Amino acid sequence: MSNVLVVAEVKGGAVRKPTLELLGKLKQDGHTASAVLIGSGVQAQADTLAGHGAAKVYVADDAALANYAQDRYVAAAADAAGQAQADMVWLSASEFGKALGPALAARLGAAFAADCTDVTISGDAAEVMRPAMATKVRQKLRLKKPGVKVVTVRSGAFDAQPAEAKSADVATLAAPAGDGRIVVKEVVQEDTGRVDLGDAATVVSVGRGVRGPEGVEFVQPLADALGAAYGASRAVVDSGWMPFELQVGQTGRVVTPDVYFAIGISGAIQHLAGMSGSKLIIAVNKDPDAPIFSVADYGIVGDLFKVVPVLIEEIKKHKS
Amino acid sequence: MQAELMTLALVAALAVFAYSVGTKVRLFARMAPENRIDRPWQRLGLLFRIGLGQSKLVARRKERSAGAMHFFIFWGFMVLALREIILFGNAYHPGFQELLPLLGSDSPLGLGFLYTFLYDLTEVVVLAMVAIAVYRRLVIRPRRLDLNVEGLVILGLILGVVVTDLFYDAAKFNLVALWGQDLHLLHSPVFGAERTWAPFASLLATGIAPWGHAINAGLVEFGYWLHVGVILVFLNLLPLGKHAHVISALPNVFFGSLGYPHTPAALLDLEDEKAWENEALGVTRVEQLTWKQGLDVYTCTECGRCYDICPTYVTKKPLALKWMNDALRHYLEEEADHIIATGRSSDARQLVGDVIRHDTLWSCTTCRACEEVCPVSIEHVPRIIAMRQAQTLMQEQYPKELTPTFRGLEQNANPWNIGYDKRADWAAELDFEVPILTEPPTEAVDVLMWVGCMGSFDKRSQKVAQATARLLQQAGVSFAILGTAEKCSGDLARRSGNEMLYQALARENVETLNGLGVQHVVTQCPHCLNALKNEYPQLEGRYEVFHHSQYIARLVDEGRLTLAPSVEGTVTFHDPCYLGRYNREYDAPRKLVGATAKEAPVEMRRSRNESFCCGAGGARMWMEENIGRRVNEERVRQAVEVGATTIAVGCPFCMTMIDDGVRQSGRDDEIKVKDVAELVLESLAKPGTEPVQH
Repeated sequence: MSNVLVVAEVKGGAVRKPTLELLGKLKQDGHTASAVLIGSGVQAQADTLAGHGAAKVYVADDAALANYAQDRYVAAAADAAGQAQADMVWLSASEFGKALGPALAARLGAAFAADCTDVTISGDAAEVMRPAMATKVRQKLRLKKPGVKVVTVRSGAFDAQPAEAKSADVATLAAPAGDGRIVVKEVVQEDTGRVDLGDAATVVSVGRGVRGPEGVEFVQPLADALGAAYGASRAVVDSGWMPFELQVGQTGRVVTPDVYFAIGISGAIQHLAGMSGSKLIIAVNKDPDAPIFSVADYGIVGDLFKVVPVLIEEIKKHKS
Repeated sequence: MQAELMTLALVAALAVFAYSVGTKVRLFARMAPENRIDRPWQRLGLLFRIGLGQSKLVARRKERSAGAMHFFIFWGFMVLALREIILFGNAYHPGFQELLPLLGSDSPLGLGFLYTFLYDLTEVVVLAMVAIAVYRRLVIRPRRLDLNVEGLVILGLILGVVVTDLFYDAAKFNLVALWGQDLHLLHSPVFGAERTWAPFASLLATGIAPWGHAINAGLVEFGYWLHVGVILVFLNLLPLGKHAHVISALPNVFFGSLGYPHTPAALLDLEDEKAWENEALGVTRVEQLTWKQGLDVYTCTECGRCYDICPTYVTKKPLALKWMNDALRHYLEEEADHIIATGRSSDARQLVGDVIRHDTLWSCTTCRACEEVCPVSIEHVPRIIAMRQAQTLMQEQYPKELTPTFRGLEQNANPWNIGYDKRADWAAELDFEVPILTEPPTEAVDVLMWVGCMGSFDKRSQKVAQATARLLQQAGVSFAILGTAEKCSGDLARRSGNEMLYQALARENVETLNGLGVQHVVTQCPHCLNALKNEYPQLEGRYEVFHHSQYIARLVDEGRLTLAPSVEGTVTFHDPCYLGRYNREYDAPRKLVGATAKEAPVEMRRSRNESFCCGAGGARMWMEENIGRRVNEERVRQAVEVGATTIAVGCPFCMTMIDDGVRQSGRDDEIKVKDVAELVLESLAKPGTEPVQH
C-alpha cells in the first residue's frame, strides 16, 4: 500500500473528470490517496475530491493562483508532496499535467514517466505502461529510483468511482512564492456558446451534402438532441456556411469523440485524418461508394434530408 | 574646345555612373556567394536565345505584339550603340566614322553606307515603337502594366535620343547641300553621298531647309550636345530605377540558372551547427539571398508578365511577384550602406514579416509559371523556398495547419499519420498479386512502381494506382512495389521549407532504393517524380524515373497496349506543374488522352507551359486557402469555358483539387475528373478492334 498524491485539475470552477479517474484507480487498488487543490476560490472542491477517495486534501487557495503560474504551482504541489510524504505524485496527461508534471519531477528530483495508460505500484518500484513510436508499440517501464516518483496518466485510462458524500480533511498550504519569471496576465477564451469540439463526447459534422447554409441549420437539431458538438468538413467551411473554428480535418481540428456522426460527408482523406480516431463512426451519405463508409462502423445510404429528421425523432423518443 | 567639353562631360557622367553601379556591385559582393560563371558556353547560349533572341518576349503568342515592340527597341539600341561611338568620336575628330574599320567611305561593299541606312531606318522604327509603348500605357492600359512617371520619362528619353540625332543629321545634310560646308560626311564615287543613304533624315532635312542657315547651323550644334546630354543623363538614370534592366538584363540572363527547370532546391547542410547558431539556414536576412538573387530584383522591370500568369495573383491573393521584387529592391537600397559597411543588414525591419508579409510568402504554389514567362530569367521560386526554409527551420513560423502534416510525415511517413503498415493495402483489392521488393537483385523486375502517399492511402487515388498496376500487368511488364518500405518522397516538406524532414525522408528512401539496386521507377505522382528524378541525385540517389503517362505511352507505342477510343464528350487535359513546367512533359499524357477520347480533345486557354496550377503545389494542399478566390475553382471555370465534360489529370493532387472544384461548382453530374491511366484502362481495345485515328 502506497501513499499517492493526486494533483487536481480544476476547470471552470469544477474538478475535471481525469482527476477523478486517478482517484478512482487508487481507491480500486487500495492505495492511500491524498489530493492537492491549487487555484483561486477552489477550496469548495475539496469535498468532491474527498468523496472520490482523497483521505486528505491540501489546498493552496490564493488570488495569485487564479491563472496557471508554473513557479507557484510547482511550489504548491511540491509542498503538498512533502507534507503528505507521498511515494508517488499522479497528474493527468492534459495540457495542465504536461506543463506541471515534468517541472514538479525536476523540483522533487523524482523519476518521471509521461503519458501512461496504466500504473502498478509494487513495493518501492512502480511499473507503467505507455504508448511509444506513434502508438505503434506499448512500453512497460519500471521506475526504480528510490524516493518519490511522478507520472502523468492519459485521460480515460482509468474509471472514476461513484462519489460518496464526504467532507474533506483539509490542510491549508502557505501561499507559494513565485519567482515571477513567467506571469500569465490574461486567459483569452472564445465563447461559442456551444459544446467545444475538442472536449465533446459526441460530434456531429456536416459536409457538402447539406448543400447550403439552410442545410447546416437543418442538421443542427440533431447535434442539439445529442448534446453534441457541431462540426463541418472543409467544403462547408470554404463555402462560408460555417466558421473555420468548427472545421474537422487535416488542416482543422482533430477530434476523437466516442461517437462521430458524418452527415453528407464523402470522406476525403483530408477529413478522415481529422476524425478517424473516433471510437464509433456513423455515416449518412447518398453515395454508397463514398469513402466515408470505409471507416464508418454504421452507415446509412440515403438522402440526409430524409434520414436526419428520423434520427432526431428516434433520439428524442429514446431520451423521453 | 569640343574635345575638352566632351571629355569633361564623359568623365563626369562616367564617374557618377561608376559610382552608382559600383555601389550595387559592392552590395552584391556582400550577399551570399553562388557560382554562376561555370559552363560559359552554355551561358552564352542563354544569352543568345533569351537575351539577343528575346525569346521570352516574342515567342509567347498572347504577348507577341508587346514582345515584338520590345524586340525592335532592343535591337534599335544595339544598332544605335555603334552610332553613339561615331557621334561621341566626332567631338575628338570630325568625321570619326572614317577612322573606323569597315565603316568609312571606302569600306568594302559600302558597309559604311549600309550602316547609315540601317541606323536611319532604326531611328524611325524606334520612334514608332516608343509611340506604341506610350499608346499602350495611356490608352490600352493592359492590366499587368502600372502607369508611372518613371516609365514615361524613360520613353521620353528614348524619344529624345532618336529625335535629336535625326535633327542633327538633317541639319548637317542641309549645311552641306545648301550652304556648302564640309562636315566630313561619307562620300564615295560608287555609293554617292551619305545623305542618299539616310532617307528619313534626308526627308526631315527637306522639311527644315526653309528655316534658314542660322537655325540649321544652330541645330547641328544644339542637336549634337542635346543628344550627348540625353544619352549621359539616360545612362545615369538607369541604375536608379526599374529600368536598370537595360544594363543588367543581359548579365542576368547570362548568369541565369543552367539547370532550369530541373534545378533542385538548395541542399542545406543541417549538420552545420554554426549555421544553426547564426541563423544561416535558408534566408532570414536579405543579404543571405545570393548575389544573383540580388541582381534579379534590380533587373525586374515590373513588366508584370508574372502578374496575370500567377494563380495566386489571379485569385486575389497578396502575392504579386513584381511587387515582391520591388519591395526587395527598396529594402536592399535601404540596407545597402549597412550591408556594405558591416556585412549584414540592420535590424530595423524583418525581411519576412515586415518587408514580405507571411501571407505573401506562403501563398506561392511553386508552380513556376512566373519563371516560365519572365523575359529576364528572374528566379522567383528558389528564393521563396529559401525564405520558407528560414521561417520553418529557424523561426518556426509556418502556417499552423502544417503541424499535423509534419507530424504525420515524421511518425508514419505520410501526411495524414495513417499507420505506415497500411501503405500497400490498396494492392490487396486487385485480382492479381503485386510483388513487393524486399531484397536485391532486382534484375527480374523491369520497373519499380512508386505509389506515393496519395496512391497508397487516398481512396480516389488508390483507383489510379490500381489502374496503373492493371495496365502494367496487361502489358506484361514485370514490376514491383516497395510496400511498407516506401515513404513520402518529401516534396511537400521541402516546398514548405522543412528541409530537415525532407532530408530525413529522402535519405531513407534513397537508402531503400539503392539497397535494392533499383534503376527504373514509374510513378503516378509528378511531385514524387520531381523529387526522385531531380532532387534525390543531391543525396546520391540516381534513377531513371518516368511519369506513368510516359511509361504507358511507351507501352502503347510498342504495341503492348492497344487502345480503342471510348471516352465520350469533350475531354481536356490539365497539365500538372511538376510534370509540365518542372519536367517538360506535355505530349505523353496528351497522346494518351487523344487516343482514348472519341472526339478530338480541346485545350484550355491556359495549357502546356502556361498551364494554370490546381492550387495544391508548394505544400498548399496542406494549408488553408482563406484569402481571395480558390485556385481550383478558377481552374474548373477555365475547363467549363471550353465545354469540357471530362477533365483529364495526371497528378493525385490535381485530381483532388479539380474534383473538389467541380463539386463546388455544382457540376459534378456533368463533369468527370479522370486520371490518364483510368482513361487508358477504360479504352483498352478488346481483341479484334482497331484503334481509331483522329
